[in-house]
Amino acid sequence: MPKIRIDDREIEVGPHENLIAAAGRAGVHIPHFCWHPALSVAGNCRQCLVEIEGVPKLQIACNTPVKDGMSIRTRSAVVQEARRGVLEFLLLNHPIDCPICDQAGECRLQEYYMSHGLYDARRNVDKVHKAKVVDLGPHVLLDGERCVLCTRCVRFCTEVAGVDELYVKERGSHSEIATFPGQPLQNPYSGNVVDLCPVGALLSKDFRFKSRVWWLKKADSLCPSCARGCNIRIDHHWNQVQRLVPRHNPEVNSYWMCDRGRVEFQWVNENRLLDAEHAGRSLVLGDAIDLLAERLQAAAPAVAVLLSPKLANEDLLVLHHLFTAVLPIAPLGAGSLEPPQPEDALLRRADPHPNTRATEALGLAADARRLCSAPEAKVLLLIGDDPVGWDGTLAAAFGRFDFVAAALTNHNATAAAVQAAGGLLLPLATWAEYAGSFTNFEGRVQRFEAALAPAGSARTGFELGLELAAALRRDFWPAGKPVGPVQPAIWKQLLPAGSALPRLDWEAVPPHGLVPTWRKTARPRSVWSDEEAADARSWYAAPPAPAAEAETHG
Amino acid sequence: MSTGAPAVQRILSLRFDTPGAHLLGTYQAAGGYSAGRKAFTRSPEAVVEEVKKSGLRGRGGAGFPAGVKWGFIPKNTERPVYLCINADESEPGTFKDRYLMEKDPHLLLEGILITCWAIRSHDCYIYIRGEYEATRRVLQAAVDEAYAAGLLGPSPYGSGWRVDVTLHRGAGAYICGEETGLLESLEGKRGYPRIKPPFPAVVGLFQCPTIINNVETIAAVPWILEHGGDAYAKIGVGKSTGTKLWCISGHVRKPGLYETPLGVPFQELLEDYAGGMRHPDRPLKAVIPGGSSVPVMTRSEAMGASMDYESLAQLGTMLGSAGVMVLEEGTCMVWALAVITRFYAHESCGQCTPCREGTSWLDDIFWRLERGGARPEDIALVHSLCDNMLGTTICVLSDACVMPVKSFLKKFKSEFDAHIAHGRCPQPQPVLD
Amino acid sequence: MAETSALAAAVLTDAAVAELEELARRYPTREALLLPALWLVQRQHGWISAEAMQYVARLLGVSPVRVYGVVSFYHMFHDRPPGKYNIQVCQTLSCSLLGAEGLLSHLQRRFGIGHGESTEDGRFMVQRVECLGACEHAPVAQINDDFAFDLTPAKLDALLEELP
Repeated sequence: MPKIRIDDREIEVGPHENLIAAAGRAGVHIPHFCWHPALSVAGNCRQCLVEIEGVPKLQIACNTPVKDGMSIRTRSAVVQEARRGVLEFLLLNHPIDCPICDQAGECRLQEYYMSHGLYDARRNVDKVHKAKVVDLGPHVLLDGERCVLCTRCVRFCTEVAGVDELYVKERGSHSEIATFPGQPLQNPYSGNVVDLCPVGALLSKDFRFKSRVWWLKKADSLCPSCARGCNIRIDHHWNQVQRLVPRHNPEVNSYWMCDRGRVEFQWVNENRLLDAEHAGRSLVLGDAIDLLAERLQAAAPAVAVLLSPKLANEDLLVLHHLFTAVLPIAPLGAGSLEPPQPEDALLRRADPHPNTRATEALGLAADARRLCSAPEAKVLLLIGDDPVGWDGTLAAAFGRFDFVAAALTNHNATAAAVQAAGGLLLPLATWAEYAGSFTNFEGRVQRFEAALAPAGSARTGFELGLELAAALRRDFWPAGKPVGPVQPAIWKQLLPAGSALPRLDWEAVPPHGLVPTWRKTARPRSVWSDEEAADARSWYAAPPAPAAEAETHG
Repeated sequence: MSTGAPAVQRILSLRFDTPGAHLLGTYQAAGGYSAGRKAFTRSPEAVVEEVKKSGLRGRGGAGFPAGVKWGFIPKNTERPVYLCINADESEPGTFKDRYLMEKDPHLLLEGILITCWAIRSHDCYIYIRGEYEATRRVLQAAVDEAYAAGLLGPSPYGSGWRVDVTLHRGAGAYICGEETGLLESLEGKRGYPRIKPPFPAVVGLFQCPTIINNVETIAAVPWILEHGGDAYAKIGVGKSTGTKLWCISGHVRKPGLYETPLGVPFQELLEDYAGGMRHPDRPLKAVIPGGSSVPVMTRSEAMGASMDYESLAQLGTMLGSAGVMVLEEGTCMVWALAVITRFYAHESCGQCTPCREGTSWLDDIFWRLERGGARPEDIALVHSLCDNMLGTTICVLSDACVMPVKSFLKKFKSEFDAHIAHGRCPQPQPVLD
Repeated sequence: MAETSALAAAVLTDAAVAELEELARRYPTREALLLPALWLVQRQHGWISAEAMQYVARLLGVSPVRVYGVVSFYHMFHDRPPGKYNIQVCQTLSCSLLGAEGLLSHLQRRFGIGHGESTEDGRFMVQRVECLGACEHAPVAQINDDFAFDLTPAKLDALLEELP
């Protein structure tokens, strides 16, 4: 392997590795704006200039592939002077918007100024003024004055999303990022440009002015909006989700997530079912569990239980064990009436659930509609999702059961239907409120951390299962009740023999998720193949017939 | 516009005063297209060698040896090789290519034929600046004539080596005279110069190996193939071989286009060709010898200068595009510099930080110096900005702005100091009528 | 953006489209036809509207925003109707040394228009441009595509008077 020296330290590098990436791996951050590991090299910001021994002029690190024996200086006086010079130029026309700019606290200009700048302003010329609140599209705003023209956003749309929706207009210091008038930035991945933007030029309409980033607490999580399982981070504050941003996983989602997953989280914050309810009254949760246990006991085995493919592996494993081994009932199944979403070659899957694979692996896949009106059952228990929301006619079927109960996250149509049928509602925790795992469409098991404290008296699916078992006074754990966190024990004790779920060591799940052993190799998967990329580009290729509407996707 | 100097001193402008020189018939009657015929009987390698021997250097401004550049095309490349003629001619003070294309277009076309043969290219694009519309029409007519005569197309000289020439009109951007900015523009994009490496000879137009040469460079090729590279190398001085078209403008009596061998003393150019200064009582003050992107010369530097690449480099300036701009006493140098930096601020493509912001900052400062509102520390500031703009950018437009700025500040320092002391320009007018 | 407008259908005449397609044979990509296509539009209409940009985009199979970015980059392309006669006065060094500002002040006084402005009847527009490559005839202007050499205010007036 080639070896290079960075500031008198020798490090080993990949054969053609990019110098910024190589230095980064060695813990040396070379400041930059326009370079990004997943995008083509633009080399326009000039912030990454470094000294290369034997080369007279400073070179941009981002366009320098490493060569064996190369020696780089990133901290010499001439490099620091050049860095300060570039920063000064970037700040020349940059508005001092920090007090009102969302990017404050995670802004490269701020960070680099503090670490490499710290000069007094020398400028005495009027700043170039540009439009400050440009509505680029449904999710993104542009502040033209803050833009440093790194073109990460332009390259993202062209190279990753496969649509040329952004470009630069005008020339020189009057250049601005632009869409074509009347053709907004509306590809299904448009929100990623906000993550990419190193300054506060591209802003999320959803997150704008919501919170200062230094107040945000962060939790590593997964997007629950489809079967891809994009790795995300939940940024939260005041026990509310403030925003979702993608995390890098080269095998699942690269650096990206789709817009729908990014903005559809308000249901976690709003309109939550906080307490148990029955016959128009709130109940203490313990009483509600007791009531449910009593009804289940009386009706078993004629109980229909519909689980949601949005429940985590741990929820499914516990509930599966509860209703097959501890209190056997039938029919037991998992399914949903939620219609498929648009699918594409990049990230989006048609299946809008994060854990369908697990339901299949546990043999739970079922027809939700049939379960909701199972004639052989006397009691109906729904856990998660909103079946009546997807098909209002189901509500009528509730009346035929002796007793209906549902554990739900929100006051949704199903909750209303259960109330109307005089049934029992239990508050269910969202995925953001506990630690668990999902199994994505490839069968890859990935963990997510708890971000928020559960709302009200909400319980997770597995907590409900364990509390039900306790209320039923039945032994639950085959190998003894665990001390401490329950998730490791769930995996150790409750995995059915012969299930297609991998044997998971909860403490040691690899960062890119665990791919089941029946897959020969966990091949590092680039996010899309050539064919898929061409397919993604075909969204914009064929000119529409003059009378047709502009195409919309997703 | 060219004066009657001895014939061996005129290679490029020989037919400029001949009526109908732009017509194929006239060109052929004068022996035109015979050099090409000769070249096509020789191996491409031999043709490249001949041009190498001639010492012909790029006439666009960089002065890079043309034959050496042609040699950079990878051997055994599977991709098509392209030839681009840089007819974007936008360097201030420069107008030679306009004459070549309008007065003797077939000379250029013959040069293109020979070059395509030498570099194994079938396709040549002439990127001509948008403002040269009249010129473009003449050139296109010449191209049409050449096609009709079978000199362009599937089989020039019966060789079977297809050569197609396509004119591509620019639309008002100096930066498209930068080699890779030209390529981007030809490909239908904003004229943003590319980061290098890779270099055009390996990855150029449409990602294929490409040679980009200036009009004047290629126009010299037929003579070289006709008379031999050695003969060409005997003209001129040292490593500055051959003749040069000088574009003289400014405060001279006879501004115009003149051709001499390289190495002509500036004094001779000024007095014998350009008629000397326009006003006897306004002596020479300053000369910019190579288009505005080169350091300025004082009167004494200029009067002692020999016009060739090496001599001018030794004087700390450059031959560049040979756009010789002559300034008389009474011209405010601060104002002149403001006019120059305004050009670069307007023409910066805006891609990279130091140029985009630096050119506009400098432009602003110099107009404040001239009109009022500058501060004493602005001079030191300018020096600092120049240091941050030099050698730190994707292309050399930034350097091209810095060259005049640093040289004006150094050689006419007292004028800048006077502007600071006075609060603005101390002259009633920046330039005399 | 109304793609069904009548203008879109008439952005380029059939002859112009044919000319463009003939030219297309000399380029390996359709994108390379962008500047030639825009010149054809401007030759026909005098300027390039948003609809025309969309039309060209569809014709060449490129995204409209790319066309927009190109039109706004190159200073000879007009994205709004210019005057019937666009007087482009060079303001770079040699022309400034020999009276460019005088010409521009003269035009301002005579027609009341400065850079980028047109007379009310739309007959004349003035633009400050950079070096036109005719410095031996400074000060220089172009009126639409035609050079005007060795100008003085009087000469410029005479030229403008002669225009149809």
